Amino acid sequence: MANSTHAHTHEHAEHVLPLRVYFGVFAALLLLTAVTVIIAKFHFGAFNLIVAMVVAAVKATLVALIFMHLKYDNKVYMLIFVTSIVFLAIFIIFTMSDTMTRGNVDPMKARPIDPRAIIYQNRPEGVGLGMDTTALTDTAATANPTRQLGEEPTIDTTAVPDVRGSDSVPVDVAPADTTQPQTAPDSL
Amino acid sequence: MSQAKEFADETGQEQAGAHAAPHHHPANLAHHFSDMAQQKDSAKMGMWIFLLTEVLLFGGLFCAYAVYRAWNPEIFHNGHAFLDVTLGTINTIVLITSSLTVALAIRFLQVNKIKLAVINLAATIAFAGTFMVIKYFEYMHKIHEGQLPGKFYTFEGMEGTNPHVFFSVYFLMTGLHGIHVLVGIGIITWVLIRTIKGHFSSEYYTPVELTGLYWHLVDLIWIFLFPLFYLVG
Amino acid sequence: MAATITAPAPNYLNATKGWKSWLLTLDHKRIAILYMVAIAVFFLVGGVMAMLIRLELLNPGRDLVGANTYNKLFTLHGAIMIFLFIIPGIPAILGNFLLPILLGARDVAFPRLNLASWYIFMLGGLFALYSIITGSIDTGWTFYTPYSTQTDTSVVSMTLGAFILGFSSILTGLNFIVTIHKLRLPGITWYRLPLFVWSIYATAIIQVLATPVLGITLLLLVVERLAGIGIFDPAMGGDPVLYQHFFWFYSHPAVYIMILPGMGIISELITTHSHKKIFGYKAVAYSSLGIALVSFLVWGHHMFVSGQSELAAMLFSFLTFFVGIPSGIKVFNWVTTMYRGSIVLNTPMLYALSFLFLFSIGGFTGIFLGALAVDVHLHDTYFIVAHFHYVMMGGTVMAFLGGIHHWWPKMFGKLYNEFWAKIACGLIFVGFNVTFGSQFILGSQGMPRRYYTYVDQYQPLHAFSTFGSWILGAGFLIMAVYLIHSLVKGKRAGSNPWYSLTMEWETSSPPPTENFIELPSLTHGPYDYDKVLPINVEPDGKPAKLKEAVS
Repeated sequence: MANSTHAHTHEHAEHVLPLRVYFGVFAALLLLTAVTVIIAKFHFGAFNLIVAMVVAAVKATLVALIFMHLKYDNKVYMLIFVTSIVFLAIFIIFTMSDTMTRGNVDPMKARPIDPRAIIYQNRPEGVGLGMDTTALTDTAATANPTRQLGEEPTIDTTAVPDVRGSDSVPVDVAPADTTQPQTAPDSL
Repeated sequence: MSQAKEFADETGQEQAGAHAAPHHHPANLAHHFSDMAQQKDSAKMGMWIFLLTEVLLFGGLFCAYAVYRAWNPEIFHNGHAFLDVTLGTINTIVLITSSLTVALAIRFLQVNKIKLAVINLAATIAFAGTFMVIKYFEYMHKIHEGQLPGKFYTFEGMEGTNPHVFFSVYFLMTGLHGIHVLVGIGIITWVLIRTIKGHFSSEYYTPVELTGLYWHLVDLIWIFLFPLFYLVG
Repeated sequence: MAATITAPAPNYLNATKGWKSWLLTLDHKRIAILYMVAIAVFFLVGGVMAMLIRLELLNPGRDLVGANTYNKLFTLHGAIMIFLFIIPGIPAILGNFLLPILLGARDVAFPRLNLASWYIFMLGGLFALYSIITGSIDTGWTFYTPYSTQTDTSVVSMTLGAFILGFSSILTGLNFIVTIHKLRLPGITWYRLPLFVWSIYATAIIQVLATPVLGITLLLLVVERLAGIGIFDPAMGGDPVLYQHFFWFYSHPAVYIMILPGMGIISELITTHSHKKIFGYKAVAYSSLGIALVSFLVWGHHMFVSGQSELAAMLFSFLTFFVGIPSGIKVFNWVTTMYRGSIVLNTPMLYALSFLFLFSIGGFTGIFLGALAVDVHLHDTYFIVAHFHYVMMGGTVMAFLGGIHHWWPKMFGKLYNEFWAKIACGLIFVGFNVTFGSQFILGSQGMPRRYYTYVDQYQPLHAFSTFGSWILGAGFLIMAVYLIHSLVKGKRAGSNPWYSLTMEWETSSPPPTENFIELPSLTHGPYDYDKVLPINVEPDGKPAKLKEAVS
């Protein structure tokens, strides 16, 4: 361990790869690109995503092992690279363990954003809701759960931002708190 | 701890030599390293750690992609129809080829074929430039159509909840990748100039090697971006 | 034993002169001093803000500043203390100074990158300053959306500042990892490394793994504010809880970036001042790495009441308890190390003992908060405030102060006034407990954090807490006086005033630019107090042994 710093003194200069290895990998990458483009033309549902990701992973592995010399270099570099992938996986999987299971136990209660809340009044120019909040009436409470966006670049402030998609568990719209009058969204 | 004394003798001499002896001191060796191999290993390890940070930097955007795709699959399906698969495929091939040329440039430096290395580095810059030009036309088309992120989104022809989020994610990921390509062009130009000036040879080519590693990572990220946006609907 | 040169030989402080020789230095020791000056200034600013906050809370309603100013004060106190003081503090000052010396190296692996880290750090500080001048920020240091995308304060410049500071942190961590891997003197194996190095190593791993995610989070926040991209802002179809995931994926591990180097210092202080071999070297070393790993699996415990799913909440709560295991191993091993040691109650040791006491309280209350049901009651109350101040200030800052006192003679070659140092330590310990101990009670009674005013029933405890902050302030004031006095008129320190066996004490105080004139002997490990008697070379050149010093 102590002499690990001196262990590979002349190792790097030695492994000059033959040119055919580079061109072989290049050909494989082109082939895999063709495969993934062609497969994408057929619709297999979720299978498409899996195939595309597996092909991409194989391509990435080829580049990392051969072009980036991971296969031949100090294994510490391999460890560093794998570590980055593992921690990225932790990040995504743990985050999605939340985002994919919201409302599974207690149904989610989505409420309309109240544009008269103080924070929306002193927002900077051009940021946020993009509409005149004073003109709003109490009908905001009967909001449409799906935001319609497309008529104009402004946002319908009365809508519930249904980020969960259409096939999620029932979304309980508007103030579900029975202690508050149904028509008074400003009490939110 | 019993090996301590054994170590002390041999290492004491070795290190004393490293500190006090100017007789063997290559021009590219910094004073705090004892030999070129140690310096090169350190530089490469530093670069790999930097690449790790790059993976996690992009990782945040991949996470956002995964979350919003899982929530609103339909906007990703509808959105990918507005991306040009042909241009994306061409760009993929361009970037893969540039990865090959930069790998070849290093390989030719290893065997002291400076001229071939220069040609390959120049080719890499040319391919990277091609990639950006194609990306520019794709972007201009999107901007023209109003398929833009967030509050700049004015496009009307796309169904689904919050279609602007698709274009936000698209522009963020390809945009951050594009910035990396531009930075890469700058760095490769720098090592190209140094190669032409004869700074590198089979004895010393660490900066080219590190640049290559960076460029391969840019390629790696595109290898994932391409199917995620252009192919998988 | 290498006898070191004690005649006034040139050292790193006086080897070259002029401001240019400092601002363009590549010497890791000088860069450490540069960091020290900058961080001391930031700590002073953050500390003054803390005093103002406590003063404002002396009575309900307005005492000193208005509600909006109060919001800005606590935000800036948090942001400055975290991003500009506690995260860079120990690694950038003590880590920079000691790491190469402890490895027997001449410098860190990338000296220019090291200097660049300092300039990037200062640039980040300038951004923060710009933000303060142009309207400040009132979101809390966490920049939670949707408020941070709506408020009209200077969020963009502050988040860009934090983004830039992240770069500095990444580059420092990268530098340290490579240094530890590649620049160890042959003969210094992994298990012969001082435990401070292990903890700096674990810290650096977290720095390079977690900080990039903060970078992308803050960039997304800036873009969200400027373009409304709809990732985090609910008004644009985004999810604010996703922001919290992104933020805490960095910021929870960042808590361990703050505490791990402190734990490393404590390992050094306790072994040195007890003159005893560390109990369970490998356990302490690997528990640092264990903490680093577990730190990435628990971030969701900041979000139990944020609307996170039940599954995720249970998962994160369960995993949170695992943090207690490596932390417990460390505390047990430190206490066991002291058992039957030749304990000398020098100032650094007093800080180490304070650390043990306060960190244990901070750690245990963390276990309460990790329990789902308890957290629902205690979330966003003063209980949280007290908990993290016990860990961050009672833990990290106590360790930091202990480390500064421990290595002060090495850094500057001067001794400070031990009597006043002990007085200051006592005041800080008492003042700290008065200030934050009372906040545990306030919190469990329901006093919410970040509130400008409160109901009358909380007034006595708030007043008590404010009173404590004055004791704390007095302690720091005394410390500033005697430390500055020691720089000007302090007695010259010997090479090893604490009779320690770690390698930095084998070179002269302050060390020469190249760290060692004669190579370190390497005849013993850093904690072989059972085999070797440490020697201190006095300023007059006479060596003195530990036995004479203790008797």
